[in-house]
Formats: sequence, C-alpha cells, structure tokens
Amino acid sequence: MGQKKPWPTVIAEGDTGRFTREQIREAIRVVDERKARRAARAAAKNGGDSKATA
Amino acid sequence: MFVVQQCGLVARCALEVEDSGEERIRKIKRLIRESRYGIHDISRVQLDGGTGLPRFNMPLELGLFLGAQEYGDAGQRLKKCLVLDSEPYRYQSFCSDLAGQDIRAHHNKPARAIAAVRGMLATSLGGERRIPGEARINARFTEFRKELPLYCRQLHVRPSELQFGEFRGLVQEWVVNHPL
Repeated sequence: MGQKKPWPTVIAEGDTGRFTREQIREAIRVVDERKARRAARAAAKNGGDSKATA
Repeated sequence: MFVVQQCGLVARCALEVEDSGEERIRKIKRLIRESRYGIHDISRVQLDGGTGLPRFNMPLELGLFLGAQEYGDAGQRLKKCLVLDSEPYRYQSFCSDLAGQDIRAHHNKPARAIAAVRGMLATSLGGERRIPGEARINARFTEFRKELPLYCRQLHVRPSELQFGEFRGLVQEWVVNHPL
C-alpha cells in the first residue's frame, strides 16, 4: 500500500494590506489563547460541579 | 477563497487590482496568465442602482480566461475553469454562449459554493495532494467566520473594512495555525 499523500500546505503569499503577517499571526494567537483559556475554565467548572453533585 | 487556501493554493482576485496603481486591465490579464485555475462567479452580474446598467466585469474576466485557455501557449492550455451562478441555467438568459462550460449553481449558499469549488479542485489536484471533504471544509469555514470578528477586533478593523489581501492573509495564517 502506498504512503498517504500529505495534506496541502498553504503557501503564504501575496500582499496583506495594512497588516504585516506578524500582526495577523499575533491577532490569531491572542484570540485562540483566550478561547483555549475559556474552554479550560469551563471544563474545570464542569468537573468541579460533577464532583460536587457526586 | 477559503476553499482555495484550504486546498493549498493561493487565491488571487481582481479585487487585488484595486489596491495597486497598476492599470486595471493589464493587471487582470497578468493575474489570469499566472493562474492555472479560474473560478468565476457570474451570479453578481446585477443592475447598477445608479445607472440601471449591468456590471460586466466578471463575464469580461471569464472571457479573458477562456481566451487564454484557447489561444495561449501549452502552459495556458492546461488551465481549468469553474463557472458559478446562483441558479441552474440562469446564464442562458444573458450569456448563452457559455453553454458547454462547467457551470455550477450555488443558490447563494456558501455550503453549495464550497462543494462546487472543492469538487473542481479535488478533481484537478487529486493526484497531487489530499483534499479535505466538503463537510470538513464547511465546518472549518464556519469556525473561521465565527472567530473573524474577534481577529478583526485585535487588528482594530471591522470585518467589512478588510481589503482582499488582508482577508486572504487572515485565511492563510488561520489555515496554517489550525492544521487538519
């Protein structure tokens, strides 16, 4: 059986207008980290609630 | 655009032209010459509110692409093209010479447009790379769209104010940072 082909990799290319790629990456990183923290807090709260119920 | 980037290609668009000082038609011709695949959505051929006349930029660009495909050199003849419209056979009322082209109706629904573009690219690129399924691309697009206002807030801009290159940059970086 042949090796699986890789998923395509996006080539970052082209003008990004008023923002640098670094600024765009930073905006994505900040939002994603907040989202991950919110999810972690929610998971911890749910875990705590279920323990309390038990 | 999201599907194109998700399939590992770089989305180009005539809207890039508005961001530069280059003569518009010259830049559009260059863009078409440099692109192997063309996706033309003729559903936006609508009457201009001010003049009552239709805007024909999209069919003109499609015509240039078909011309390059037909009369260009060997590389240009490898070009592949997908034409999108809102309803099946609507094009026959205003551009009947298009009959015989690969024309898909998206019914103004993003999921239908995603499926059509993904289908065309999967057929064309299937031998070269793995292409995610339309449900997966659609789910990722929904996720991206949900987060877009938050990314824009970080960049101190409204989503509606994003220029083509800025939006493409966001999609490119998002796809890289959220691997399949």
